[in-house]
Amino acid sequence: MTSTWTTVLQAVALTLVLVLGVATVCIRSPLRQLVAFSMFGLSLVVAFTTLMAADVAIAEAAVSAIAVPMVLLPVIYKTGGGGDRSHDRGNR
Amino acid sequence: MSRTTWRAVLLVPGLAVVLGMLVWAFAGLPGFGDRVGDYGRLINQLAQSQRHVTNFVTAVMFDYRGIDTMVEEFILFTSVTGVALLLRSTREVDENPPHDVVTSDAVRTAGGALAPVLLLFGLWTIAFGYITPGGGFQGGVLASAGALLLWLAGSYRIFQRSAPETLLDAAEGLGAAGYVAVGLLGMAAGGAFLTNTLGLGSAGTLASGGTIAALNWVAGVEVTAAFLLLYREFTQEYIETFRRAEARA
Repeated sequence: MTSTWTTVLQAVALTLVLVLGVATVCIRSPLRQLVAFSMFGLSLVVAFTTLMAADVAIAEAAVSAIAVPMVLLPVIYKTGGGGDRSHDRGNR
Repeated sequence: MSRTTWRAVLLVPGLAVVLGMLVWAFAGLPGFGDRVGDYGRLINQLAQSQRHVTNFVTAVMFDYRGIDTMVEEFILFTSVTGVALLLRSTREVDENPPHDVVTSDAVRTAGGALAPVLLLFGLWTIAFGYITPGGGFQGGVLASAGALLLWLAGSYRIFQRSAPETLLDAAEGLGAAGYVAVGLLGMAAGGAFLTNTLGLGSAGTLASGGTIAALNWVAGVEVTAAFLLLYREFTQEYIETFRRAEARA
């Protein structure tokens, strides 16, 4: 029973990795791209956890949820939405 | 034939070959989750008796492949130093302290409550890195996020005070140097660089693993300082842009 649930979770997580990975590449607005990237990271965390790679999962969570957004957010702000006019100044 | 057709003629066979090779390669892969490499099997058998630790990932990181981790740490050290050098050299020196960004009560309460929790969680992740999943790298990033929340919740000045530049610079350098120093300890004892020479203790307790524990902590310090330094430089840029925009308005 437990292994069935693990398999289901793995399948869901890996599908999300695929979908969100493609979405991260396709989205043009940097701010939305960053959100999609963080969700991509979260799906990877679930995938790693269900594959019993807890150490990698923690590292991925730390990097995708904290380190990368924290570095990219100021950059997006400083460049005025990274060239995307629809997110200009309004969204801090 | 037009240019586009020529491109397609050149591209399609190439893509077909790549696709064919991918399919061929995937067909030859072992079943999902079936294979544990020989190296992994060896580590699983030997790590606990050889190194007295219960998290074998950390044993690989800070002992069996300690030199790889050292190089990795220096990659982080070099890139953060580069960022600091670049951003500091272009920054205008300004006498007036920057404005605090006023945040809402909700953000302030949640951030203030979470900051110490996250800091403690980070320290725990570092401290128990060789017993349960975790380690210096992961714990370091988490601990640095604690200080970052303090900035989000409180003010820029609190963040500045809680993470002074001199202290961060020193901690980052000491973290990197400490790793090498522990490595030299092995050489001083007559072994090779990074030989585990300290007492191994008993597995499952904080006093175990010998140099694994020491390397884990220096890596934790290095990563925490490096990420705080990174956030600090980037937020400083952010704040200054914000101020200049405000001044123009």
